[in-house]
Amino acid sequence: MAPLEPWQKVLVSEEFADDPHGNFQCTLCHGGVSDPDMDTAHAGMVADPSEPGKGNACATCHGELKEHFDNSLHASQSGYWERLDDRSLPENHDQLSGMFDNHCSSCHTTCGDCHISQPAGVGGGFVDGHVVNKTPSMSQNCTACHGSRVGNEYLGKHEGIPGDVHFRSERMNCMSCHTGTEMHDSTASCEKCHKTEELAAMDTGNSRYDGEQVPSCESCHLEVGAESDPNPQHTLHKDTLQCQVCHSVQNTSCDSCHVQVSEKTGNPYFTTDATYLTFMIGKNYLQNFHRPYEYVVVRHAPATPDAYDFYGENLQPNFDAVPTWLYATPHNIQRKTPQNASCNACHGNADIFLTADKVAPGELNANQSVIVPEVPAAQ
Amino acid sequence: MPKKAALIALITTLFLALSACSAAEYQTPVEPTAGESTQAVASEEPAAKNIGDGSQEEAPVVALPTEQVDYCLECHTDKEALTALAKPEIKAEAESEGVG
Repeated sequence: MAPLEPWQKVLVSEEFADDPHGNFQCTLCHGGVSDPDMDTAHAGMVADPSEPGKGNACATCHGELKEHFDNSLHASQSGYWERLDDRSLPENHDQLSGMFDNHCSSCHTTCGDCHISQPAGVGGGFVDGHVVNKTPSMSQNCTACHGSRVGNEYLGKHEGIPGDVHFRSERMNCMSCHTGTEMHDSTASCEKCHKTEELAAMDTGNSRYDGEQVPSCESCHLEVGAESDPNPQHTLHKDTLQCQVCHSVQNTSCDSCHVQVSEKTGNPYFTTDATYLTFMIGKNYLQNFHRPYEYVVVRHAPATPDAYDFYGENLQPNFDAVPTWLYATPHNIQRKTPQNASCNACHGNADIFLTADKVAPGELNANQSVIVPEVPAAQ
Repeated sequence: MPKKAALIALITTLFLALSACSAAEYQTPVEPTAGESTQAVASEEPAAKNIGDGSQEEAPVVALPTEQVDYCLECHTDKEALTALAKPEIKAEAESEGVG
């Protein structure tokens, strides 16, 4: 994503006049006053009025969407806190909150970050001259944040690894699978089966792997595993293997992330030790009704026990409560992959299974539920 | 006799009242003239009110955009003005290492 010049970031296009939002006075959403003097006009002006606590401008007309969105993963970042909570104790939370505010909260997303501007966390600036785009830009909104793993994998930016078949062959963008309903309301799919009061009692929507798979491959590939499916491997492996086990390829893993605040500039920063490509199949530690598989693709997250030591000692006393090799859904789906070339390309192939010898000694306890004790035998 | 006097008084009152109504009816042709003048004022009023006191009573919304200058848009659609006024961004020194 090319960086924008300061003036480009705030240049309103002529097309904005044709946008329904262009019929309103700027000050209606942004506050401030309409005045020829820049300083006077900008006094009290809110750059992103969709930011919580900054006027809640979008909710004035789009109240229902906004209400759900506040609880969505993009807004709440509750997935981050789920991990932090699992690995820490309540007495660690004050220090972890400080860490979160410095290093994690910039990934929080507002309405404007998807529909008007490039996300603030990557520099901001109008995508389309302030026109409010119902469908976000894939490159300037979605992969602006989800770039280093999902974007690079989907678009085929890793040398020697083709992009995702949905992109290469069908030119599908992110929104082809990830609908507005999913983006705006992380528990919308739960309500299809669970009654509202039942849903309220459930611990749902805290992480992207909670609840139903949204989207799921079967949403489009209805024939997979059905009687009419000409591929017997689908019927044979449907409930045992996550689709990506056969249809994804090498994807990004990282090691050892540490965060701190610079003594020199006062800015927060991070260091990760290594980033590399792996293809590993592990045991499904999230096995449930919606994810019944025995095996799933896993990637190494850069979690490490001393990641937050800048903010206090031993802030993750329960570090081993969560694996460091995580359930993954790589976005580089291929019809034909090295592991689905033949039965024995997978069966008996220890190289692609996460066995104990591939896990760092200090992380063995954390990954007991993921480690494959015995590689499926060759046929 | 008092009854007769009262009856006469009532009839006289009714006659006078009806005469008054009748007079009013005959005066209605005059009203349009007054109404026209009122209308003429009303047709001028919105413009005067919009510029003057900003009263919302009769303010036709359609008249506002042509009358008001939106200084925000005037500046933010002017590339040259923005280029001249934009403060250069001080880019923070990149201290992070590795892929985030």
